Amino acid sequence: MNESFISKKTPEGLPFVGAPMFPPRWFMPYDVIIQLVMTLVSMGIAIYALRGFRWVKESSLYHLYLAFAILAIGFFANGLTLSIDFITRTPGPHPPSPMLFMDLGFMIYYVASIVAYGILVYAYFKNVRNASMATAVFGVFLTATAPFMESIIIVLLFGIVFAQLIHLTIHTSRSSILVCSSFALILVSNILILISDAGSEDLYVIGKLLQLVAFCALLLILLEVRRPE
Amino acid sequence: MSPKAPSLKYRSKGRIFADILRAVKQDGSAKPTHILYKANLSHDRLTKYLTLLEDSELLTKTVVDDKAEYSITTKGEQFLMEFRRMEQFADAFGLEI
Repeated sequence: MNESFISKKTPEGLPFVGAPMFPPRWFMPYDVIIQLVMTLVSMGIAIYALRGFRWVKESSLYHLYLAFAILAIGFFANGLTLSIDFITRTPGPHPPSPMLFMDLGFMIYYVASIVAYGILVYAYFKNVRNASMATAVFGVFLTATAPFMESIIIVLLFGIVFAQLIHLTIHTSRSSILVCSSFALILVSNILILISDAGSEDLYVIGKLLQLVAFCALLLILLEVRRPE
Repeated sequence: MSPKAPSLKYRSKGRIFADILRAVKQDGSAKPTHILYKANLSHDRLTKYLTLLEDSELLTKTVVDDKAEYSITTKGEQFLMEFRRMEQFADAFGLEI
């Protein structure tokens, strides 16, 4: 029951270089639901930021819109391919073909996440050179020691949380604490998913649940700011 | 010890729009000199922004005794409300507008 749907090793037992962290099969339907929730929340934030950009023509709002719209595409592609693979495939070892439909979904998710978090990091750090340097140093350390794609996402999330912590020291509000906590949770969840590569499925599941909690917190913020005055 | 100079902060176009609209809204209608003082703008920049706000239908201009007076439109009020919301939204994400 707890066996991974798809092994991260090829039939010959060699590690599949660059393989994403796959969920255990029993968790796949829940994973799809989580991806769907994150897609909807990301779309909600993107649409709201776009509406704001149309009114006040601020580039930071456009960056927020772009980042969350791209994140939504990544989550949707991941959820869609996961669900199709879950429905159409029977449990078993990784087929010889290295590029599965689900692999493609994960690849879209990773690329979308990197681009989206990259845009957010740019929005935060376009005027702060020192903070960018700190993130870059952390990035070099991490990418040298962990899988590439997930590492880039963690580095970018580290930068986002770092920028939000700086903002919190200047201006603290309930919303900014909640958003900072959400991104910190997303960072922790990505670290757990990265560690789960070493063989612990529980860490993958905990990581995904933390992501769900983080996006629910972001949904709270969205509902709060949309409330009529 | 010399007095500390006030920190100069970049104001975006949206924020300048909001500052002008707030200045006008405070008194119902306002003369350019009043707006100039309240929104902290030079004469040239104020003239440019007032034209932009008029063109965008956020302000209306009336001339009384050869003197211009500006009042906020419904669209202008809506802009101010949206700006406040977006300020709160961007601030939650640690971004400034």
